Amino acid sequence: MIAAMIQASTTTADIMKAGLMEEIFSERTLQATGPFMALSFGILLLVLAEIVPGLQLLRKLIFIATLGVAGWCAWKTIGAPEAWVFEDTYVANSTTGWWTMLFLAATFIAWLFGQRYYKAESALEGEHDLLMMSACAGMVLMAGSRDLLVFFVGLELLSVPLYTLSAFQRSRRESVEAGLKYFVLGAFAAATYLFGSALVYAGTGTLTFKAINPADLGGPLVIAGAALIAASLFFKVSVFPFHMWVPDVYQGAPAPVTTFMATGTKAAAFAFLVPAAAALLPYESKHLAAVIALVTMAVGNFGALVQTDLKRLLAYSGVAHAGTLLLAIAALQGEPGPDAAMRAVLFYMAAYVFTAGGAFGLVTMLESQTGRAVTIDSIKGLAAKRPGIAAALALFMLSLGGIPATGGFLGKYLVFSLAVRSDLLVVALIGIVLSVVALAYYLRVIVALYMQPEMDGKPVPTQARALSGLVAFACAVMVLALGLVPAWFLDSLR
Amino acid sequence: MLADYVPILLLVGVALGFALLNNALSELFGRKRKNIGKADAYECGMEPRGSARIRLSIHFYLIAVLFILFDVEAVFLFLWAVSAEALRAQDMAMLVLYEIGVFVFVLVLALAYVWRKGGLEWDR
Amino acid sequence: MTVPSEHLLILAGILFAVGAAGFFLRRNVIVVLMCIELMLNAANLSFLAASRMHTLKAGALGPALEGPIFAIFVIVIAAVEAAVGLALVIALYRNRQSVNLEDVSDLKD
Repeated sequence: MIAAMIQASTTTADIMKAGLMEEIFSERTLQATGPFMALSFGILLLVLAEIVPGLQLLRKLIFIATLGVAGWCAWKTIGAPEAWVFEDTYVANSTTGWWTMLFLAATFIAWLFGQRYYKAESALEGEHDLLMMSACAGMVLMAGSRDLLVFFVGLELLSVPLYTLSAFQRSRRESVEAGLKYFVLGAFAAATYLFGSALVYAGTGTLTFKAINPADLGGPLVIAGAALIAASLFFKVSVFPFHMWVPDVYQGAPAPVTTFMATGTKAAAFAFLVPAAAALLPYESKHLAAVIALVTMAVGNFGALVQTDLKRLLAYSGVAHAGTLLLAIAALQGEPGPDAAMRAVLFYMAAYVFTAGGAFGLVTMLESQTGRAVTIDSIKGLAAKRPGIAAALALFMLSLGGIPATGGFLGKYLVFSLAVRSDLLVVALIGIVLSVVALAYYLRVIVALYMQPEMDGKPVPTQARALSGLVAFACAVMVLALGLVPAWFLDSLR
Repeated sequence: MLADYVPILLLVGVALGFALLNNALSELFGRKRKNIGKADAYECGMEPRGSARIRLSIHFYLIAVLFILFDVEAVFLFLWAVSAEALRAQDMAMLVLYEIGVFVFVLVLALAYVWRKGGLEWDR
Repeated sequence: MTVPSEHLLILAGILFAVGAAGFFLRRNVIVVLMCIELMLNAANLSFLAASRMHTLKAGALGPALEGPIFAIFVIVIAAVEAAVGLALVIALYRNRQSVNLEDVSDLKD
């Protein structure tokens, strides 16, 4: 049947525009898809490096060069006129350009912290880099897609490598367990997403956001479909009640992968959630979304209070941050509109990528140095022996907690003011109270760093790691820059 | 509305009836001479009786997974093949060529990777 | 005789529900994978049903192709997920000599 239908459509020549060739090879298309093309090319080169014996030495060079070229391509789309390509399924503008830069940064941070982390698996580092770059390409595709099919391809390009990466230390029980849990739930979310998009397609007759007729949105099929799609995206960004997997997977997965997941995946899913919510969710869903946001913040913050493992603590903190961001999604249904929500989410996520990236990165470093899980106990007294590392970690905690002068504060400010402008004053107030609760566990980490003596039997590693220290320093600089001089970034978004 | 499904019901009935009738007829009129050769599976194949839960070599898993991955990719070739003629008719032959060239190149690269990593060797 | 597309959508919904129920009730990883596969195929069926619905609708410009194309992408990605999932199951079995989800509980609060 499919073949017959395709035959029927292609013989009706008017569907195929004469300018298809010119369109595909036009400069506009190349510019819009540049970052994704660069990453795809990099993936092929990395595969080639695994095949041709001599090229293996160039692997790291290829990785860095690919990220660089993709970053350059993304930089060119910032400030350029908005370009819709491939029949309005993919868009490139300043926002997607910045999102791409953010994904590249998240990938680079996780990759740098992952150097010298793997011991038993060091022979498979080629595959590790390859999978990481595929996931990065998937994120770029997700952020630019304005179509349910294109987004799905991006989502799977991100998720499938991440399932594998989570279980990368295949002889370690926890790693395989994390991978399996993530996979089983992720595949369930993917199936939910697919059934949801099928229902939306049945109700509207199209998969492209631009082509959806607003009159169709009230139908029962579309509402059910949008709810299923929202549920699957909530899974990806770890929003209540789909957050259960987060602490387990973050704890069990190799630390560089956790760094990558915590920053990149969340950013990519939110990059699509904003336009998807603007296109599909009805106005009435605003209050439901706000309530879910509050519950998520509560679950994350109260869950984190009792954690001792630092990865688990940061995982619950990530759940709480997802709740805060969902508040921006709820607010976009109101007066401020999707563009303001997109700016707030992008800024919040930018601060979060560098903050959480740095924090998880330092956990990665400590974990690979001591060979043990990093707990509150094991970082006691770190400030005395490694003042630089402790200061950076403390700064990240303050930024996660939303203390002024950090990027985290400004992100929270943007989101909450958005909520207030959208008549969600009470919700915003409860959210602020919950953020204060969160300070309790962030300060607990800082107290452990600075005011408690080193535990017997859990010595703090003394030798420095230049590369990790440098990346942590760069992340700290970015966090402060976003907090103190945010104007250059916010201005370029307008 | 449900009357629309009567033909399907009829089809099920005819199929069942045909199978049952033939079995009954051969039971009634057939000559019954048993020997080991006749009771065996035809010509070749696995033993028809016994436990289904036998252990298979893990090699089969790798081969099967590789097969299914490359096999399923072929589904895109059908899409390409069906629309190739129409595209060519509109002076887009080069596009047709580029598309399939890139696609096959990526697949070949994947195959080369599998080969290089020893995924195609039976005894390792 | 024609089967209305709505019936196909209902069938797809039932298949999806069966898959989801199995996903939550069964504890064997392999069976869980099969349930996910069932859900994916339910999505495929509803894509095709929806496509047919829009094609047969009065005033349609031509065949609605997004549905079948999406279904093909789903088939491919289902294969990819099966490959990764089975690899994970094998790694799991090597670690713990079990493919039961209840035995996979090292990580918890």
